[in-house]
Amino acid sequence: MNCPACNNEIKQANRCPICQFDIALYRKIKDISSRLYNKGLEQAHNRELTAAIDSLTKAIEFDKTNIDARNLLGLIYFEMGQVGQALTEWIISTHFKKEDNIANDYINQIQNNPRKLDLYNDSIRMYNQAIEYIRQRSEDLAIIQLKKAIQESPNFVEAYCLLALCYIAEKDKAKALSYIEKVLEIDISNPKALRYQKELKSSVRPQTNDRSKTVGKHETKRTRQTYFSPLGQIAGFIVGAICTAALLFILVIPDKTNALNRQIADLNAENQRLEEEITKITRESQETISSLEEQLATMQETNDELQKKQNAIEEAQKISQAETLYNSSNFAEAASLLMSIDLDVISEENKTVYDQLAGKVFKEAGRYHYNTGLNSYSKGDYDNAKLNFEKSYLYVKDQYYSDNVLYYLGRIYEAENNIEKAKECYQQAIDQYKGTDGANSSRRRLNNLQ
Amino acid sequence: MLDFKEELRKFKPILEIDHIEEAIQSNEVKDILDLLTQITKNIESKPKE
Repeated sequence: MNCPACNNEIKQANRCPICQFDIALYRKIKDISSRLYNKGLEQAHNRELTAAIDSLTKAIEFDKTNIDARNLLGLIYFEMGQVGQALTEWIISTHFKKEDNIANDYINQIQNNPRKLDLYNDSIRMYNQAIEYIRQRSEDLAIIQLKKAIQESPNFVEAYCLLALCYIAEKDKAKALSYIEKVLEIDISNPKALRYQKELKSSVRPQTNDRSKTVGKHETKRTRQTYFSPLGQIAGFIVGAICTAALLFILVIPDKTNALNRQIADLNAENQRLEEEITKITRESQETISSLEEQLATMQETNDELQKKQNAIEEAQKISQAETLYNSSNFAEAASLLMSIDLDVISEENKTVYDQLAGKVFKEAGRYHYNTGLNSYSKGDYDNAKLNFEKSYLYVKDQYYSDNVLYYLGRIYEAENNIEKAKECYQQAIDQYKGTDGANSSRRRLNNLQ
Repeated sequence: MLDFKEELRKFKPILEIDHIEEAIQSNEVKDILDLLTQITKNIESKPKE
């Protein structure tokens, strides 16, 4: 064997020659652990499960690598419905011995049945929840949880014990005893169950004696009362039933009512707390929304102002560009740019600059477009001619050629067979430029058309 | 007579399956042999008089 302290190989010595470890003591400890395991095994066979748990726990306290003891301990926990504890022992067991270990089979069997595993775990959760309920003085809710727990895990010893304790607290000794008996069927040495049973029997026994005495008295009475007629017996039965009902009403119902009232009060308090919380959250949310809306409005105003300023700057830049174009004799583009300016957004100062520039630019551009239009008209390019005449008339209307602009436009429309539009142009020339060549020529064309 | 509160203290929450890993990790498994080994090492490390 190897020394457990330094791992040196030792043959027969009682002490390790290297580290002086007491090998004899080591062997004794191993031996104690084995004996405790044997005891635990025997107790398990006799269904003394709690006692077996004690022995096996001690066995692994002496020797943590006692795999058999640990596996059996897990098995007993499993038998008593404590699956979590069982799995813990088996997992630790597989840590110490990976191969050829029955704990692997146990773990696999449990893992291969996830539905069952969920049921066991649910039962443990319900049991833990029941403890919590009892601490909150809600024994009735605890009983419901515990009943569900034993339904899902029928050997759940601790749940039976707690259920028995709840019924003892509720003074329902018969039910308490029935659950204690169930515990003792699974684990005959369960100390809690044995203690409860002893207590209950000691408190029940005197009552039994009393009852026998009482029964004796009744029997005596009954023998005496055999003189009662059948009608009297029926009346007696009815009176007895009424008394029982009255007793139930006085003793049992108030207890139940109080418990329910307590529950209702708790629920109402919880409800009120939640309502207050909701109101608080709603109020805070509304305040946040209002604040955000205000911020949004301010930002929109700022944005509008900035947009206006931006537009004014852009329009001012256009005036400057138009002036540059005018200085380089590019009148047509200068006029087009000036026409695109939005006069509402520019400052008064820039407006004055605009008016001065526009006076010069539109006059030159009007003349340029008239001449270009005339040139195109003479070449028969009516589309281009019309575009230029229209632009010329848009820019200026008081020039020496303005009457002719309208006349030529009328001629172009006439050529396009747009007679109504042609008539409009001729009429406009006659009305606005009386006595000019353009007006006279327009009159002649108009007469021909009519 | 049974004292309900006193009895209730004997009931502890049972380990749920979801918490097995934490339980194993938090418990360093030791036995008497570990203690013995530790004691031997301590004696060994003391200077001999």
